[in-house]
Amino acid sequence: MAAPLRRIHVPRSVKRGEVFEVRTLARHPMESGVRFSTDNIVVIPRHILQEVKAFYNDRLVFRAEWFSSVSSNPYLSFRVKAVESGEVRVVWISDYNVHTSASTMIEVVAPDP
Amino acid sequence: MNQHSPSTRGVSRRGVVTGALALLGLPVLPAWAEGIRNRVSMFRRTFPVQPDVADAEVLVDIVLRGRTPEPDLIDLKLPVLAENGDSIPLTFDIRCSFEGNDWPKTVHVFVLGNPFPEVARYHYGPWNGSALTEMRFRMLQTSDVVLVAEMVDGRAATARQNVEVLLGACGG
Repeated sequence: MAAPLRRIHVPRSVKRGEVFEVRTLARHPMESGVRFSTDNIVVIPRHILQEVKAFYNDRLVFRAEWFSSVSSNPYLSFRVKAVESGEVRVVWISDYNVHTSASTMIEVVAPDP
Repeated sequence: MNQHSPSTRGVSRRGVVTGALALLGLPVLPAWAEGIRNRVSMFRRTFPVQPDVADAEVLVDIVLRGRTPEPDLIDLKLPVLAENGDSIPLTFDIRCSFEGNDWPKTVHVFVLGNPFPEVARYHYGPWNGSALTEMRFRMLQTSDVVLVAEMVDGRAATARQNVEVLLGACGG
């Protein structure tokens, strides 16, 4: 079975105020738009994921703009500070404005006294 | 009866075009940088372009906007030698406290030896707590990788490292 199209991973639970890592992986060819097809005449059109947005409880916390040099099946990880339990959702936007997303829940516990 | 010549109208066609682009939210390049316009990913669609390191340095200068970059604000982790240019791992962190006005607004990643040197831009906020970010990118040939961080208080920082690529990726 093929790997899922978009994947996201966060720690199951973190303490409030702690910085946690969000790891994401997308399955995408990331066609750069400078490659020739096998007959060496036609340039394969660019088709990449050009923007990644991360939402933490529907609040935009991180944004990435990608260009043609990002490798295929792009991996991205970034950090967010834990505030409250809820949803972490990442949205990938392609050149043709197709939105795909993955989301997961995170549990925020009280810090040690 | 139309006595108006273009020079007396007071608004040049170039000015109108630039203003319209600015209204649309598209980046406006200074006049001296028009030559590298096709190298900016935002403007381009599909066509082959030869890599040019000098043009790529102009792109870095545009981002710096004349500011003197601080040398030791960025922690950069890159391989010195990559056998395959298809997927080169990059990890970076910005040495800042993420309190008050001490956090990076944007981090730009450039690979000078690629036909389109811009690789990525990352936008942060004070809610991130840390700018530690990992990604993977393609490289066509051995060249410098340049990171430019724009701090929210107006400071800028750069980090630069040469990466030797044995087998370059197609395109880039």
